[in-house]
Order: sequence, then C-alpha cells, then structure tokens
Amino acid sequence: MDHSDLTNAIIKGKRKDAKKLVSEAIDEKQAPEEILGAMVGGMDVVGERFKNNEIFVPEMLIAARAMKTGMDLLEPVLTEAGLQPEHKAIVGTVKGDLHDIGKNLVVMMFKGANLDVIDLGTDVAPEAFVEAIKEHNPTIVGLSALLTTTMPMMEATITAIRDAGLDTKVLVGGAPVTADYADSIGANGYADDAATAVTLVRELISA
Amino acid sequence: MTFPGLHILGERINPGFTSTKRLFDEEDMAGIQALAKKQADAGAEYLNINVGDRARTDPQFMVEVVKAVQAVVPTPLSFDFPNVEVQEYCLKAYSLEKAQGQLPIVNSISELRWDMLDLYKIAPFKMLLMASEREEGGEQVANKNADEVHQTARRMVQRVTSSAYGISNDDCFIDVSIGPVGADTEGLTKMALDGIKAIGSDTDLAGVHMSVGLSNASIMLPKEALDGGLLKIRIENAFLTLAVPAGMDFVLGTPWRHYQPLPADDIVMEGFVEAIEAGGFEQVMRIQEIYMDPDED
Repeated sequence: MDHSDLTNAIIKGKRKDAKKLVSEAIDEKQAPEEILGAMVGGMDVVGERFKNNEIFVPEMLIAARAMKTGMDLLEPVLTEAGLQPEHKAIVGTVKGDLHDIGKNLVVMMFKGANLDVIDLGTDVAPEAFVEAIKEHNPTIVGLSALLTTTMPMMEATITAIRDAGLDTKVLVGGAPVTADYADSIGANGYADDAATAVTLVRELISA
Repeated sequence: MTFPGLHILGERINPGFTSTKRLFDEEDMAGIQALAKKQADAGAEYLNINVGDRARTDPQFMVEVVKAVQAVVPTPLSFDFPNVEVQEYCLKAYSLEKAQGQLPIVNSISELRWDMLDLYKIAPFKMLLMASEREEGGEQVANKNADEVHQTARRMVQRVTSSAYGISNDDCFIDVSIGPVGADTEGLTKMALDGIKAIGSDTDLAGVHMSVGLSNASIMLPKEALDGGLLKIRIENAFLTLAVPAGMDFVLGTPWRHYQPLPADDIVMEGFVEAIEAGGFEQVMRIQEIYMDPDED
C-alpha cells in the first residue's frame, strides 16, 4: 500500500489531511504498522530538513501536531494489534532549571520516532531520574539544561544513575552543552538539536 | 532612527557566539579586548561578561577577562554567572576607578539566591533581578502570567531597596525574560510584554530598569520574511516596538544591530502583533505565515 500521501501530509503539517488519511487507512484495514511507518517516515524528513536549516521550528511543531492527530486515531488500533513502541525514553530538564522549550522539542521528535516517551518535566532532581528509570526501565534517558549554572547538575544526575547501578544510556543537550562537556561527564551521547537526538537514539539502540 | 531611551548591554562576550568561543578556547585576550572595544565604540553602555561553565571550573579565567576588558574600555561590566563565589572573584577584580566610578552589575539574583545580596559587603553593585521565576515554599517556580512577573519584581525590588545597603530603584535591572516566539505555544512572549507594561506603570517601581535577552526571541527562525527583507532583526524590533514605550529601557543585545521601531504595516510587525494576540498554537502558525505561505508546495 502506498502511504506517500500520509507521509507528505506529516511533512507539510497538514493536520486535517493526516487525520483523513489515517482514518481511511484504518477503515480499509491497512496494516497499522505501515500507517505508523508512513508517519514516522514523514517526521524523519522533517528532522532532516530541520537539521539542514531548510525548515524551522514552527514547521517542526506543526508537523508534530499533524502526527499527533494521526496517532490519536492510530494508537488504539496499534494497541489492539499488540504493537507497542519497542523502546522507552525518559526525558527531563535537570534540577534547578525551569526551561522546557528544548526539552519539549526533544519529546516531540522522540514521539515522532515512535518512542514511548515519559516526560518528567523541568527541575527534575537526580533521585527523581533514578526512580523513574527503575520504574519504567527505559532504553534512553535524555537530560536537558539551558543554563551554565545547571549544567553541573547533568553530571550529578549521571553519577546518581550510575551509583544506583543503572547502565541506561544517557543523552545530554541544551544551549550551553557541548560534545566535549558531554564526554567529560560520562554521557553516552550529545545532540545539538532535537532532530539529531533522534538520530543518536537510533544509533544507540542499534549499537 | 533608533529607539529613544533604549540602552544596550553588549552581549558578545559569550561562548554562545562561535567566534567568541574561539577567542576563549585560544585564550586570545587581545581578541577579547578588541571585541569589548568594538561593542563600546558601537554604543554599548555595559558589557556583559559570560565565559560559560569555565566561570565555575576556572574562575580565575573570568577574572582575567574582566581585567583585560577593563584595561581597554571604561564601560562598566555585568558579571554573568549566578554564583556567589564567582561574583566575589569578579567584584574583587573590578576596578571602579577604571570604570570611572560606574558600578558593575551582578547578573543575576533570583528569589532563591538572596545570599548574593550580601556580596555588597565586598563592594557595591547594581543587580539584575530575575522576574521570570519565583520562590514558593523553598521551591523555584516558573512564572506563567504577567501578574506573577509583576509581583515577583515588586517583591524583589522591595527586598533589595529595604536592605541595609542603601540600594535604590535605579540600581535594579529587572529581567522579564523572553523565549523563542516561534516555539512559544504558552503565551510567554505576551506574558513578558504585559509584565513590562505592569512594571513600567507601577509607581512603586519608578526608576527601575528593565531588560531582556533579545536574541532569544528570534532563534530557530529563518533569515528572510515573505517580503524578502530580513526576518530575525525585525522580530526583535517588533518586540522592542511594543516593549520600549511600555518602559523597557535596556536590552542584552548586539550594539551594531539595527534596532529601530517598525511601522504598524510592516509585515513582521503585523504578524508579530497578531501572533501574540492569538496565543497558543495559533501564535506559532501566525509567525510561520510571516516567512512562508503554508499552502504552497
């Protein structure tokens, strides 16, 4: 079945088209994993274009909203078919930092890549990350910080995770964060933007 | 034409700018001095000093930057790292004489960082007060509406001006904080503008200064608007066009950028005003319409 119309609707952020196409595909009893794949493929293109500065943050938000509209229809079908996302990700902004725009973009793009995302919000203490990892057993943990003063909390969080005996892969990102800094605090990866974070997660999952 | 009464706190000494990061990495003090001078010559009335995380791991480097900058310009400085120890180093290194008696700015104090105020025992200073977050039961909480911003500003100014240090309203810079307008689905741009209006018309706060980190507003947006003109600077100018008459008198910005009022029929001004009035997701979609036709393939 050709789902390129649906993929294009996601890329263009056409919410109504996405809704109509997903609804039709479900009615026609098309394979739910293929419908999902068409939307994830659309978000991949969006991520790629965002990385290349061909599109900008409003386009990304609008595309993600179109995907969400489609997913609201598709999720019950996926659940019924026993098709749950294979991987979980926990995402949060570290303690002392209330900034959430970057973190929300990552949450959005992770959902767009069909990860099961648990968003812990902002000002999340190291212990809260540890507790959430124990509860949800995610594949990936994403830490965000916007301030130079809260960056050290990323290190404290990673230390707390490792001290708890957990080897979950930890990604870090945020305006003041650099790849060198990520290395120096023992993170498993650093992403410059939300789209790169998705690429990185896929690499870490397949590694 | 520029904005009458708008002053610039020069933002360029910050590793967020790639060219500046290179100066830091190479410890190119002459380059940093040239950047300081360039900003001062372009009209910056303060120079913000931000060396990134290195302020914490290597505070002596921040001290060196402060001294190097003061060796070439008399412009007063703003120490951008909210940590008592780092601020203490900077205040001790700062030469009031070289700054021709002009006090530096401690950047920044929030309701959870009152210990910073006691640095006044070391040397007097002006201060940036964060109005975007407040303290509630020992916790840090983000302000979500203009009234919360206004009330936080009131509490903070009241507290510092009633301290034993003789601090006046004129020593206070209230940072109302703005984020990227193209990703703002929570009405935070409008909150900032309404907060500025409320603070600007509060007679108890007469004489306080207000400032925002202006470049934040236009990040993650393209270069050009639909009319072929520049987009980012006009997004910043649209904000200023609304904020300056409401009482905002400082921006953390780049002194050689062309800050100027926009006419009401400028497509960016129009789009910006409609976007923040619409709020929510509509805001993002209206901002997008300034630079692209969403129906075009």
